[in-house]
This record gives sequence, structure tokens and C-alpha cells, in this order.
Amino acid sequence: MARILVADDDPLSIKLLNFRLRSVGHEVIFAVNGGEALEIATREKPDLVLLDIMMPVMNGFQVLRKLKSQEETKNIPVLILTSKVQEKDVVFGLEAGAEDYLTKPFSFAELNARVNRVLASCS
Amino acid sequence: MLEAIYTIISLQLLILAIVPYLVLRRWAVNLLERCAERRKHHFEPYVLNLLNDPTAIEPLEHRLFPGDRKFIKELLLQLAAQLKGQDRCNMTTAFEKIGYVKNEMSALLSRRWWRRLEAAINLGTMQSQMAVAALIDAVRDPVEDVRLAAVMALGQLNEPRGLRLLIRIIEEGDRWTGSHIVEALISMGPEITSKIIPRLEATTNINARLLYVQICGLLQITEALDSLFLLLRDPDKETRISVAKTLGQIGDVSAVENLIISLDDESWEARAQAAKAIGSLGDKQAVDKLKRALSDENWWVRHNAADALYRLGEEGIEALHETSCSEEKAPRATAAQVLAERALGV
Repeated sequence: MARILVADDDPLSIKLLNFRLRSVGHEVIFAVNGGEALEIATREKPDLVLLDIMMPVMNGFQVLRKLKSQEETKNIPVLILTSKVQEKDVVFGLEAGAEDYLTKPFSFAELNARVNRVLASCS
Repeated sequence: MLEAIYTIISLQLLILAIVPYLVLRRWAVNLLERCAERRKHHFEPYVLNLLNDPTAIEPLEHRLFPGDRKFIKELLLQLAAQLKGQDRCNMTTAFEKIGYVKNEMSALLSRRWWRRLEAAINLGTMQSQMAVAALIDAVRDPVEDVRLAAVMALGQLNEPRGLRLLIRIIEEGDRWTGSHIVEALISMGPEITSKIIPRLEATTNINARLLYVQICGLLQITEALDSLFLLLRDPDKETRISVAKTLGQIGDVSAVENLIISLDDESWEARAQAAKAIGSLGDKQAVDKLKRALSDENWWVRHNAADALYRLGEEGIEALHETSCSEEKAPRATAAQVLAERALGV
């Protein structure tokens, strides 16, 4: 199974994703702001990054652009997490290089399917 | 003299008493908040476990400290708001089994309106069908906010009666109520809005129609374009203004042709809004018509037309430069103003 970086400033969201992803065997590391997410992704090189858009320090788009511009992280697939009132951000994120998106609120079945699809397509 | 001294001493004693009181109070509040966080943290694993087994509620029912039920309820509500599908159904089962749904249903009868409001909102998040009858009764609450919350909760329960009631409130309500409803509907997501939109589209009520137009713009519903083009010719001025704005928000260039016609609307607000929308859609076929709109009798129309021309790029800017040398005073001034504003980065 995969090593997944979850970047979200909402502690409950992190715990929820952590709980669900671990229940299917993934290893989860997390970051609570954009700066930390970039630093951990560069250092740990996870198999997948789940990236929230609205975060302090650096927002999700800024992190995404940085990840895709760095040689050591440009191939790490990114799945953006967006709330239902920011769906227009989905287009922006996909154009910036994200592989897929997940809209909050989400079901575990959808989360699992999208994570597996991205991991399979990038492996 | 003595009285003055007594007064001064009393005041000083009062200040000496207030300061430690405030410090102690702040310390106590911080302590309670930390305890609350610790108790929530303690229950988090049990609450998350409900996602796998919604009947595993025993740790959340027994050996609780005073106040724990409130923390558990808050955790469950926060979690439920982030979930959908089977996970959300599991949370609903947990709410029912632990007894929170019954508690909130009782709270709908509270004498305090803010408690009734909170109960209606929570029942919407809990999404339990057990609460339908109580929520329908709450739609007759004397307080408008409670009525609205009850109707929104019924919408979240996918309860058909709730959607009918919602449409009725929209039709009977004022624009302010309508704006609240739009915000709430959009926050409830496409599952709800997809049920409401066809009903709003079908109504002849002006308030409902305006809400329909507003939602189409906020959600950028391109499938609604054909019906919006028809509404662009509606006899109601507010509808035409709102539609022009919405067409700009949706961002589909095919709307430009219809918006160009709206530049001749009898209402200056509709003409101004049409000019603004054309500017955001960026279709150069509108340049000539926008240039003519620079001679409009209304300042807003002229300004929006000039701004739109600028946004259309080279051809539009060239038209503005030509107009800034025109003999007609109003178009000349407006063109010059917009060119100057843009040059300054305004």
C-alpha cells in the first residue's frame, strides 16, 4: 500500500482521512499548513498528496505549483480537496497539474476509488 | 472631605477586587477549554469507529462526565458535516441510537427560540427521518429564523414536503429571505440544488424566478442558458437585470448575442449589466455595439460599456481611443476616464 501525505488545516478532517486511509492499509503522514506540506513532500516524497485548497502559510494552489515545478517532486501525484462552494477551483487545480480532485463532503467509497485510481495510473 | 476619602478608598478596593477576578476568570475559562479539548480528544477514536460500526455506541453512553454528551454531540455533528453516502448514514444511525435525535426533537419545543433554531439546524445535519414530523411542525414557528432552519433541514432530509414548503417560503418571502435561502441551498450541495432548481424554473412567481436566476449564476449552470435567454426578455425589469448578471457569471460566450440585444433594453440597469457581462465574456463581435453604448444617456451604461471595450483587448481599446477624440462630450469623457483608470491600474 501507499504512503500518503494529507495536507489540511482542519484537525478533524486530518483525523478522518487518517482513519479511513489507515483502515485500508495506507501509511499516512500529515501537514497542517501549506509550508509544512511543501517541506514534508520534498523531504519524504510520498506516493500521493491529498491537498486542501484553503490553508494558512501557503494555499493549496501555491503548494501545487511549487510541487510541480520542483524536479524532485514534480512526479508526485496530487489529489486536491475542495469544498462544494469552490468547485470552480477544481478546473484551476487540474490545469495547474493535479491528477484528480475530491469534493467535500465525501464518502469513503469515493475517496478510496479516487486514491486507488490515481495511484494505479501513476505507478 | 471624609466622604471623598471613603469614595476613593472604595473605588481602589473595587479595582483591586476586579483585576484578580478578571485574571482568575480568564484562567478558569482557559482551563475549561483545555479540559473540553482533552475530553473531545478522548472520544475521537470511538466516534471515528462509528464509521465502521454505527452500533458501537457503548463507550459514548456510559461512564460519562458531566458535559461529555455535549462534546460527543459536537464531534458527531462536525464529522457528519464532512461525510456523505454510507458514512453519513452510519452517523445518522449513531445519532438515533445515542438519543441525540430525540433530544433535538424535544428542543424544537423549547421556550428559547435560539435553542429551537439550534435544534432545527442540528436535525438537518443528523438527517434522521424520525425528525420529519417535528420539523414540519417547526415550519410554523413564530420566529422566522427557526422556520427557515426547519425548512432547510427538511431539504437536507430529501423530504418532498420540505422542498414544497421551501418553494412556498421563497414565493411568499422577501428578497432578504431569498438571499439567505440561496446561500443555504448552495451550501447544501448539488444533491439539494438539483431538486430545487427545476421547481424554481417552473414557477411563475417573481421571487422564486429571481432565486432561480441567482442560483444559476452562482453555480454556473450552463444547462440553464436557454431558459435564461427567454428570461432576458421578461417584462419584469429586476429579472432582466439579474439574468444579464447571471449570464456574465456563467461565462458562456454564446450568451453575447442575446446580451447585445439587451444593450437596447428600456431599463438603464439592464443595459449597464448587459455591458458588464459582455466585458467578462470577451467576445469581439460586441465591439461596435459597445461603442454605440458609449453614447447612452446613463453614466453607468457608458462606463460599463467603456470598461467592457477595454477588456475586449486591442479592438476595444482602439475603439476607446477613437471615442476619446470624439466631438460628443459624454462618450469622449467616459472613454478618456476608463483609459486613464486602466493606465493607473484602477
